[in-house]
Amino acid sequence: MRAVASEWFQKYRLFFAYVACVFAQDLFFLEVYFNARKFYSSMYWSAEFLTVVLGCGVTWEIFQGTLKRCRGAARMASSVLIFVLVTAISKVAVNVWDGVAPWPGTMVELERNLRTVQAAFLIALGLLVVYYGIPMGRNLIGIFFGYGLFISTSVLNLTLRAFLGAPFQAAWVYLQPLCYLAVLTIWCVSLWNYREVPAPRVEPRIESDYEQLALATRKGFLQVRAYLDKGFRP
Amino acid sequence: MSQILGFLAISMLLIAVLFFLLYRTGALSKEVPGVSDEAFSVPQVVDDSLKQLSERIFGSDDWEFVQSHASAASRHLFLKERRRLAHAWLFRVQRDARCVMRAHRLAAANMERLRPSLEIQLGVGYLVILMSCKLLAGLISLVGPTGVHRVVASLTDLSARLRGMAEIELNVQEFSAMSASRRAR
Repeated sequence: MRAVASEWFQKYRLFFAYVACVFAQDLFFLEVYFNARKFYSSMYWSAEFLTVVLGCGVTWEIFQGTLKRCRGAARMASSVLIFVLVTAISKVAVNVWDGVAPWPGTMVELERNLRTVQAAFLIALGLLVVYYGIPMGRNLIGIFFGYGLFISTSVLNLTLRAFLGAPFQAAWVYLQPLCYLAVLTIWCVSLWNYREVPAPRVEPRIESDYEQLALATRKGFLQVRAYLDKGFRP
Repeated sequence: MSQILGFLAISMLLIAVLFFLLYRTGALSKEVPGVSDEAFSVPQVVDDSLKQLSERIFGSDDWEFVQSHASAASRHLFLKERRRLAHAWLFRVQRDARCVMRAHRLAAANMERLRPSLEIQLGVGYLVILMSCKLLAGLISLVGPTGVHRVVASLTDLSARLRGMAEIELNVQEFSAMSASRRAR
C-alpha cells in the first residue's frame, strides 16, 4: 500500500514484484495449509524457487540503481561481478565434472547455492560502494540492507539446516520468520516515502580523461612518499 | 565441512559488509564535502610547508644544540615536544594522502574509461603509504623523531631507489601520453 501511495513502485519495479509475489504466496499457502495440507510441502519448494529467481532480479535492480550514475564504478563492478560469476560457475562445473559435489539433489541445496551467488554479488557491490563513496538514497540503502540481511540469514539457515538436519528444524521454524520480520521492518521504515537517489558529489569537470586523473593521483602519491622519505632520512 | 565453512563465511562477510556500508554511508553524507575543480589539484593538495617542517622536525641540528647547551629537564621536554610535532606532521601527511585518494575515487567513479588494473595499482600504492605512516609513527614513538633516521638509514636507501624507479616509469608514461595527444591533433 505504501509502495503505491508513495509511488516508489514505479522506480523499483522488480523489488515491488518480489514483495507482491511473496505476499500473494503467503496468502495462497495459508489457504493451502488449512485446506489441502498434503500438497503444501511440494508446492512450497516450487514457489520458493520462483521467489529465488525474482530475488536475482532484486539483486540486479540494486546493482542498476546504485551504479546508474557512476559509469566508472559500474565498469569496475561489472568486471568484479563477471569474475565472481565465472569463478562460481567454474567451481560448480569442475566439481560436477569430477563428481566431488554432484548437482544439488534437494531444493534446499539449490536455493542455498543461488542465494550464495547473490551474496557474493552483494558483497562485491557493497565494497565498491564504500570504496568509491557512491551515494545511495534512503530507499536503495533500505532495499540493499534488508535484502542483504535476508540473503545472509537465509544462507546461514539453509547451510545449518542442510548440515545439522532434523535437530536444526526446530530452531528453523522460529528463526526464518524472525529474520524475515526484521527485514520487513527495515523495508517498511526505509521505503515509507520515496526519496530520490542523490547525485554524485563530484563535479563532472574535474578531469575529463581517466589517464590524466590516474597520472595526477600517482604524482600526488609520489609527493607524499617523498615527504615520508624526508621523515625517514632528513 | 570446508564447503559448510565457506557458506558460513560468505554469509557472515555479507553481514559485516552491510553494517560497514550502513556506517560509511552515514559518515560520508555527514563528513565528506563535495569535490570541485578548486579542491582537486594534486600538487596543491600536498603542501610544500611539509617539506620544511620535516627537515626541522627530523633533523639533528636542534637536538645537537639542546644536548650541548641545555639541562637534562630541558632535553627531556625538547624530545617530548618534538615527538608530538612529529606525530602532528605525520597526521598531515596521512590526511593529504587520504585527500588525494578520496578525490581520485570520487572522480574515477564517474569515468567511463576506468581501468580496473590501474585502480588496483593505485589502491595498493595508497595502502603502502598508509602502512609506511604507521611504521614511521611506531618508530617515532619508540626512538623519537631525531633517532628515526639512524634506525632506518638502510630502509630509506631502498625506498629512494624504488621511488626513483617509479619516477622513471611515470616520466615514460607522461611522454607517451603527450606523444599520443600530439598524434591525435
